[in-house]
Amino acid sequence: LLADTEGSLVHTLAYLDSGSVSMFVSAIVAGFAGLAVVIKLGFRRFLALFSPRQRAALRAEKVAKAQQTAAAAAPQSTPAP
Amino acid sequence: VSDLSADAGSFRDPDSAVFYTGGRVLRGLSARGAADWERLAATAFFSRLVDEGKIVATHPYTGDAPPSPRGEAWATLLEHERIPFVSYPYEWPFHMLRDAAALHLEIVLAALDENMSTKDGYSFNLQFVGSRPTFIDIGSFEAASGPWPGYRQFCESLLFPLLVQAHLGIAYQPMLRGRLDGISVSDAAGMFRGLRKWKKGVFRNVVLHNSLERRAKGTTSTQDMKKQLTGAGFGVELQKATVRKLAKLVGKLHVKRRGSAWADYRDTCSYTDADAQAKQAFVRHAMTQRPPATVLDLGANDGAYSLIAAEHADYVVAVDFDELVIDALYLKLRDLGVGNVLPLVMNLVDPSPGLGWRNGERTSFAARARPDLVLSLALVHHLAIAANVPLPEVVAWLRSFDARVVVEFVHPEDPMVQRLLANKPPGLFDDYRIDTFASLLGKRFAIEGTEALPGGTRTLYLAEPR
Repeated sequence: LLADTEGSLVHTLAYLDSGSVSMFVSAIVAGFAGLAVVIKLGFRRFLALFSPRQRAALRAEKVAKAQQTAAAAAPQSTPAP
Repeated sequence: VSDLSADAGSFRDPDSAVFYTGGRVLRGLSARGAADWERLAATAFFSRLVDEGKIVATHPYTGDAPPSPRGEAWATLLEHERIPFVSYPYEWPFHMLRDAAALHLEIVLAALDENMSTKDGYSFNLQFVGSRPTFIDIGSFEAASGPWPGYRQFCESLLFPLLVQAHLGIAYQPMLRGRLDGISVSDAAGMFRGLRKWKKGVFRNVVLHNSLERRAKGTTSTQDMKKQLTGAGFGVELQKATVRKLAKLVGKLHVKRRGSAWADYRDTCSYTDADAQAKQAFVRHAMTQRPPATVLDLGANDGAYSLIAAEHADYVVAVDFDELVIDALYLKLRDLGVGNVLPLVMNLVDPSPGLGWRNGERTSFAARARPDLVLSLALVHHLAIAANVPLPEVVAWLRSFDARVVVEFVHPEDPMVQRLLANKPPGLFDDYRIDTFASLLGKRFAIEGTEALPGGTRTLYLAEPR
């Protein structure tokens, strides 16, 4: 299960549709109201666009979160009789 | 049904595709596409813009249909009004492309008022009927949510070409012909360096776009970004703000004209007034004798003879390689409200080829040009002498249109031909003679009429293909 979760996450991260950046830029093109949305989106995500370090940190955070979720969802092992 | 044929350029959208039967243009829609169509047909903006000729007239259709390109049956069929002559953005001069871009945005804004939008922003969503742009991709409409999905495509296929022409004076037609998606974000950024970054509309749409794209590799998928932006409050009103800003920018783009060799041709050519009058009378006679449905004016220049042809024919396609004269002709036609002349920029020695997937998405000029009459006035000497096309090949090319021709042969002693010959080594064009031309023409056409113009250096022929 862990391997699967991690695999699909890596796949999602590796998939690049440059349309995502264009959507982001279209918000900036919209003017002040669009900028407000960008700010609300999160300063860290914005920084991650510019900094590989921030990007790596965000990615590690995501993987850790996915692992935690997977561990919580896994059935508890029963002790040997 | 045997005459059903799919449009080779209509396969990318799984929910919609165009096909033809018996001269009719039909569109198949999937269940999802049909739901969008029902929603669109119920809006007020759709019927208003169809009435204004800004969206192609469309009605439900019942009949046979080929399966979708993915092998499925269609849920709904539509019929579209036929576009008299399909043309492409790399054949449009600046103001045609600008008007097409402005119309695309106008349509998205009108749709957003009723909570609909378009799923793309492609220049090929538009066609021209004469000098009027019209939106043809009915399958593009969908319910609006979040940012405009067409923004990137709009930038590459419409906005960047306009920015490149307006700010840098670089012709976009060869770039659009070289890449059907348009000018990529990174290529556009490469052209706007230094102080050029600060030209109108460049910083946000080009520089920032490129800079973020280079840095953002692999961080967020489009769907994820859409979810996040929508979650942060990017709704229909903000999409409207984006489109409104783009419309404002497009409206402010102008092109600086420095003149061209052909812009004042009518004033500098070697005609006398008597020549011009005789030539007009000859063309009028050819038109009235047997009025053609479609006329192709090759080397149309300022369109003087296209306009004469338009008085008698249903539709005239005026082609010239000089962008400046065709742009001026477009503005003239638009201002006069002439609805049956389509001006196109094209080098006839290097005409538009078949492009895209299997060379069939965008058809070649040769495949589209099916006129009833061809005007070839003051053109043969340019092909034969300036472009070194052998005279037999020029005549074979005229015959390939399989139509009546009005062709002008300018004699070697004419000042215009002398000017062309002066740029070539002597003795290369000894076969460029009236008797050679008449004999070649006579082999492939039945000559119905001949007239030597009063100036004595030009001869006109009206000929029917054999």
